[in-house]
Parts: sequence; structure tokens; C-alpha cells
Amino acid sequence: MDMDIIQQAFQIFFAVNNFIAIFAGVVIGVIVGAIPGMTTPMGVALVLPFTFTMQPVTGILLLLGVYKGGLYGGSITAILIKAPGTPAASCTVLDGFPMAQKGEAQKALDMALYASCFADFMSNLSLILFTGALAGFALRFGPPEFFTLIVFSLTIIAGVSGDSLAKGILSASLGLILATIGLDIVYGTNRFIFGEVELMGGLSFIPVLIGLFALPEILNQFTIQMEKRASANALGQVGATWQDFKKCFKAIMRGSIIGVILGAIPGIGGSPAAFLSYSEAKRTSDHPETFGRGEIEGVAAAESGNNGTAGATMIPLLALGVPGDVITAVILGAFMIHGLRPGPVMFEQNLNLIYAIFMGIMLSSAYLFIVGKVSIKAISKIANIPNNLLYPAVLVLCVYGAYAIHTNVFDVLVMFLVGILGFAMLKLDIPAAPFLIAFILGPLLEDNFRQGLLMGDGDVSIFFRNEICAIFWGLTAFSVYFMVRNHIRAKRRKKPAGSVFP
Amino acid sequence: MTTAKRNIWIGAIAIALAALGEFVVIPLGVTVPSSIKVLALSPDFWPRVIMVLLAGAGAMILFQGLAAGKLLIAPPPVKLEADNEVVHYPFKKQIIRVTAAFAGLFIFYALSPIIGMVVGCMVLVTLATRILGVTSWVKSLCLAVILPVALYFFFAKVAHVPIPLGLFEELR
Repeated sequence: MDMDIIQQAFQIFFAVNNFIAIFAGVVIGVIVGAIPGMTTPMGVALVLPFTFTMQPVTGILLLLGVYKGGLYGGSITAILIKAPGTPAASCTVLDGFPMAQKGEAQKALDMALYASCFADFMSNLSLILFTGALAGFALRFGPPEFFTLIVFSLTIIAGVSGDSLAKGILSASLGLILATIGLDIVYGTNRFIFGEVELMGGLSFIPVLIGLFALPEILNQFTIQMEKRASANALGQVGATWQDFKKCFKAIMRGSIIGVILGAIPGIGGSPAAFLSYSEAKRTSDHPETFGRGEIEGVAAAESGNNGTAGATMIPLLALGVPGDVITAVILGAFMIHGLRPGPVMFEQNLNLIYAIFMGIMLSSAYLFIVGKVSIKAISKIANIPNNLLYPAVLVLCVYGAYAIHTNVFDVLVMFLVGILGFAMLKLDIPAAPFLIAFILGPLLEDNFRQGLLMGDGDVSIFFRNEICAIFWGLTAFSVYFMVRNHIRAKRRKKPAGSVFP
Repeated sequence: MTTAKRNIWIGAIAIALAALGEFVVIPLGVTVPSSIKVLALSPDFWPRVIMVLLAGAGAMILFQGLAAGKLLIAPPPVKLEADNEVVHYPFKKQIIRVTAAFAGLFIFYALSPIIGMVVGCMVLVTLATRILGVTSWVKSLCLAVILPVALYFFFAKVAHVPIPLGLFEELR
């Protein structure tokens, strides 16, 4: 390891702005995660425009803070009002809410925090340990290898497609087609520009992102007549003790490892990790009958599984340049906005920035602990902001955010149009996440495909030229097989009694 | 509308969009140089592949809708959370309110070069809060004034992003 680079990384990292950015990111993330209806991708999307004028590391750390805070924040309302702020926190409801009903909300929140911070720390360690090795391996990649890698990465769409794989593919197709707008990358000819100069550079990432994740939720508020939220349970007086932590340590450790493994595989994300960790804790427990009735170990297992993915999803992003989930897809976009391209080349050229990001990520675990410990009471109150005030405020953030990237009102129009499309998708149960992933990965896929073909003089056999390509094709086939099988199984499980199918 | 019927519509629309893209939009919207030797390197190759993907997804959804409709599989009963309940307006009222919201967005877009983004946002927030049921004018107006102005100062003064002020440009 080159000491000069580490020294440079320290110099980049030890700036007041970075410390403030991570702290602010964690606070914003916890608040966003704690508000039912607001999602972490939405939070990251709204914060992203504020990072344009920051140094790249500061901006990325702010977003990572939001990501990590959001993962934990979801558990607050899951425990207090049975309304998980994030999908992954729905597992925390199982035991967290019964604990709150028993007057042990503070204990559940404390354990959620301890498990989250520990798992987050473990996940960050794995990120630091494994990313460099993976990136070193990826230095052997050329366009054909990257093409096959991105094809494999696109199978993560299955993981974010929700109930219907077909709708996920439909959503991804829409994202891919919007990504083709602009000048052709090889010939420089027009594609879907129709004389509009503003479209020559393609659609900007931020307006599409905000339009897809924030605006549909705002528009959806106009369809809601009344929203009744359960009143929050009292926090209670007794928090989790060292004894409680020791009792749950095995579940936390197991959950962290599950989170790290599943988080490092593109497309799996926090929810399956939380549920797998929970089911393993229940399966190996001496008293499985207490799970679901307010078992503190259940809270610890769910939260450690969920937060164990936080650092691990960054492994494929930093090492290979492919996102592990929707939020890391957004962070990939943020890297690009700052003129950086995560992947093996960044390890060669900007290793100091990567080390600085590692330092910030480690600090975020500590901040998460402090913010969680000090501000649970206040944050649980912020979560009660009425939607009819919250969403108009979010709308203003959307408008300023979409405009600020290129100081162009046209981007506001793009945001509105994508928002309307996103609203239609929301109402038709078409998931938005595949759209965004395809929108980001689409140009990379096409670029590497065409570069590969140019290298091979038009011969497609170049995409099978070595064992790396073969491995990625094999993984793609394996992944497609499993996602189709799982979707069929899930569909069969859902069939109501009386159906003609078994 | 049942899930099956809705899926039939979604599938049919996706196929129609793919056909429209393949036969109308791509020929009109993508300029293909005459010197192309390898088909897969052509600028219209990738969009056409995506259209095939879109049509395939549409066909799958259509088939699922038709199969579910034919077998008369009832949609699973909707289970409402007892503690956290959302009640939507009747469908027609939803359409009217959402259309009004769309119109509001486009009017904002059209007017923002004239009245500026800050004042535009003030009007937008006031209308949005009132339509969404905020009864207190004080709350509506406070939010409508404070947030756009605070964001203006952040972007204009801290981030040095010139926010358009339209008629109020002299106040800058």
C-alpha cells in the first residue's frame, strides 16, 4: 500500500466539510427513513442537487450518510407505529411493534440502533477488505467483459421488480429507451432529438431520478382523501442494556454476515437480508415461539440483516462500477456528475479518493450511533409532520433540484414529464426501480457492446472470448433461471384457494 | 378494474408502444448513416432491440392478464392495516384532482420565465397545500414563503446557481 496515497486520502478526508456532510447526511437519512411514504431513494434524490458544488468526496459522503441513516430510520416508525419507513424495516415490525405495545419501545429502538451500527460497521469493514481485490481482478476487463458483466448486473432488475417480473422488464425497457435519447455515441447522429437542441446531450440523470422517485408520491397525495396514522406508542423508560446486547450478539453477528453476503450480490438488497437473518435467528433460537410476540432478538436479527447490506452494496459499485441496488445506482450517477467513474480504473487513477470515502464510511457508523442515541425522541416527532405540508415542501425541493444541475428550466419540464410517467407506473403497480437502473446501466451496456463489436470487427464471438465472459454468461443464465423459478413459485403461493392450479 | 383486466390493458399498450416505436418513431427519429457495414453497430440497432424487449414484456403481461381472466382467479383480498389506513377519493374525483395537479405543474413551467422560480414556487406551494387540505392560511403561507426563499438563498448565494427571478430580477 502506497503511504503517499494514504496520506493524500487523509488530507482529502480531514476537512470540516466532510465531517459536517456525513453528519448532516445521517440526520437527513434517519428523518427521511422515519417518515412513512418517504423512501431512501427519494431522500438521496432530493439531497443530490445540493452536492453539485461540493468536492466529490464531500458530496458522495453526504449521500452515503443519507443512505445509511435511511436504512436505520425506517425502523423507528416500524417500532413505534407499525409503519415501516423503508421496505426492509417491515421485518423489524414483527417484533418491534409488539415490544412497543408492551411499553418497551425504547428498548426495541435501542437494540435496533445497536444492531444497525454493529452490522453497518461490519459491512464497512468488508467493503474495505474486499473491494480492492475485486477491482484488481477487474483490471483485466475490456469492453466485452464489461458488456457481459453489465448484462449480468441487469438481472438485478429481478430483485427490484416486486411481484411481477414482466412489469419489471417493461419498466426497464422504458428506462433503456429514454437512455438512448441524444447523439449516437459512435456516429454522432441524432437519436430521438426531433429538432430539440436541449435533447442532444440526452436526458439529465437528476430530473429523471427526481421525477421517478419523488414526484409520483407527491401526485399520489392528490388522490388521498384521508390518511389515518396510528398514534405512536410511548417510548417507555427502560432502554436496552449490555446484557440484552450480549444476549442478541449471536443473532447480530449472523445477521451482519448474511447482510454482507447478500448485499454484495447485485439486486438482493436489505429486505431479503432482514428476513433471512430473522428466520435464521428464529430457527436457531431456544424459544422460537416468542418470535413475533415482542422478542428483542427478532429486532436485532432484522436490523443487523438490513444494515449489513449498507457497505456491501458498495463493493460491486466501487470495484466494478455496477450498482448493487437502487440507491447505489443513484450514487453511481452522483459519481458521474462529479466526473468520476467507479470501477477498476478509478482504483488506478483516484485511489486517494476511494480511501477518503472509506474513512468517511467508517465515520458514518459512529455518527449513526450518536444520532440514533441522541435524537430518537425528536425524530419520532418529526415523522408526524402532516403529509399535506410535507409533500408541497418536497415539491419545491424537486423543482430547485431539477433546475440546479444545468441551470436549465427544460430539466424542470423533463422532471414533470417523467413524474407523470412515474405516477402512471405507481398506479399501475409497475416498479420504478428497474427503470432507473436500466436508465443508468443502458448507456454503459450499449457503449461496451458497440466498442466490443468494433474491436472484433463486427464478430459477436468476441463476447465469448475468455473465461471471464463465460463466467458472466453462466452467472446471467443462473440468475435468470432462479429469478424465473422464484417468481413462478411466488405466484403459485399467492394463488387463492379454489384456483384451478395446485 | 380487476388486476387481470388492468394487466390486459398494460400488456396491450406496451405492445402498441413497441410497434409504434419500431415502425414509426425509430425510422423518423434515428438518423442512420448510409455507410453502416455491421448491422449491430447501426444507431437504430439498440433502440430496436429495446422495442423487442418492450413488446416481449407487454406480451407476457397480456398473457398473464388473459390467463388470470380466463381462469376466473379472484384477486387476493385487500387487507387493510388496521392502524395505518389510507382512504382514496372516488376514481372520478381522483382524475380531476390529479389532472389539476398536472395542469398546475405545466402552468408553473410556462410562467416561471415570467414570474420567476421563487414566486412561482410560492404560488405552487400555496395551491398545493390548500388542495391537499391545509385549512390554516398562516401555515400555507409560511411554508410557501419561507421554503422557496431559503432555497433561493442557498442556491443563489452559497452554491452560486443563478435562480431565475423573472419580473423580480431587479431584486437580485
